[in-house]
Amino acid sequence: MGSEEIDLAELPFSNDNSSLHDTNVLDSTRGSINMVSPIMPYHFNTNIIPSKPEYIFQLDTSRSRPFTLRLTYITGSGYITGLALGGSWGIVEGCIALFRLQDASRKVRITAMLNSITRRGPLFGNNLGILSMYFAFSEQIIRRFRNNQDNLNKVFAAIFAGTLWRCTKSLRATVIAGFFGGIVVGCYHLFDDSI
Amino acid sequence: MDDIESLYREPCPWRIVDDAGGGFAIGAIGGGIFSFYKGIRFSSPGFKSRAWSGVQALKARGPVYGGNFAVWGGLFSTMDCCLMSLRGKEDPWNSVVAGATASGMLALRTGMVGMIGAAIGGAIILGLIESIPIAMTRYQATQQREMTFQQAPDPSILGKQDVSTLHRH
Repeated sequence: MGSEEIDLAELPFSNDNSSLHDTNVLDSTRGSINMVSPIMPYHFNTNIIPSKPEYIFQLDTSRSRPFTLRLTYITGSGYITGLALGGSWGIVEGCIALFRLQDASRKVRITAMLNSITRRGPLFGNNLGILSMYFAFSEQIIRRFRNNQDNLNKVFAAIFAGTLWRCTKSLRATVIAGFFGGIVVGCYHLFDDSI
Repeated sequence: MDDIESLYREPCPWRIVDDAGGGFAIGAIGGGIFSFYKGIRFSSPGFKSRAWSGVQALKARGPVYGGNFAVWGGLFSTMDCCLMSLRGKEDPWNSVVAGATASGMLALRTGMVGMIGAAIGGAIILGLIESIPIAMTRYQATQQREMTFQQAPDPSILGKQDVSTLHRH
């Protein structure tokens, strides 16, 4: 195999790649089962590395993971990211505090370090976890409402989560939080082709 | 909008994220409802005052409950994964030991006695959670065995008996 050029058309089970990466599959399978064949064109040539995920059944392209799994994944990743960020900030603060406590005993220094970590870590983690939970719930609601799943849902969900997060502060803070959430998620999905 | 029905959990390192997120969601929703009720209950009379007090209590305490649950879930899942890779098998004892270790680690700053007490409490809770499905399966299995005893005998045995009696004549 190695350096030889392989003609794809002559190989068994190999197909044109454009049929694999058809983006209109989503629309054609919506609502009714009008499959060309039950199994997608699936090639067994190991030299071809597909750029997009392959599905055995065509209907699977319009499906996703269950809501509970998405909720736990989004919330957990948000919480753990916030915990790590806040913990790092707490470690920096504790190191600054240790300069003032150079003459203190070992126990006092350990307690000061732990206090500064446990003050900042859970604060960041809780806030990011709550934001992620708002995002997951609102994305699911918007997805049901629009009966569609694309990245525009995520932008709307981020705007909604930001406004909900700051809705008790003031109107200005609410608008800024929603705008910020929309900008962040919009920039994340800006270069995605499906928005 | 059909979801793929997945009965299987994530593979082990990523399970920690999922368990922490599940714990956070449960704790934040349940604790949020609880603290909202508490804020309404212990407030000055008047609808506006009560509602505002409830919202403030929810905002102050809900994320804290969520964070505590998330820390517990994440530690438990970490311990479970560690035990699974160390012992090379997955059984209820893993969960019991992981629950005891997670509870003990959370009570690390209270001293030795507090740690042991928390570990025993965690082990009892996880033992109850793990033993209820086992008891259910065992109960269903006994019922199944009683059902199989009432079945008719295998017809192939009857045929063989007939052949043997014919041969004897």
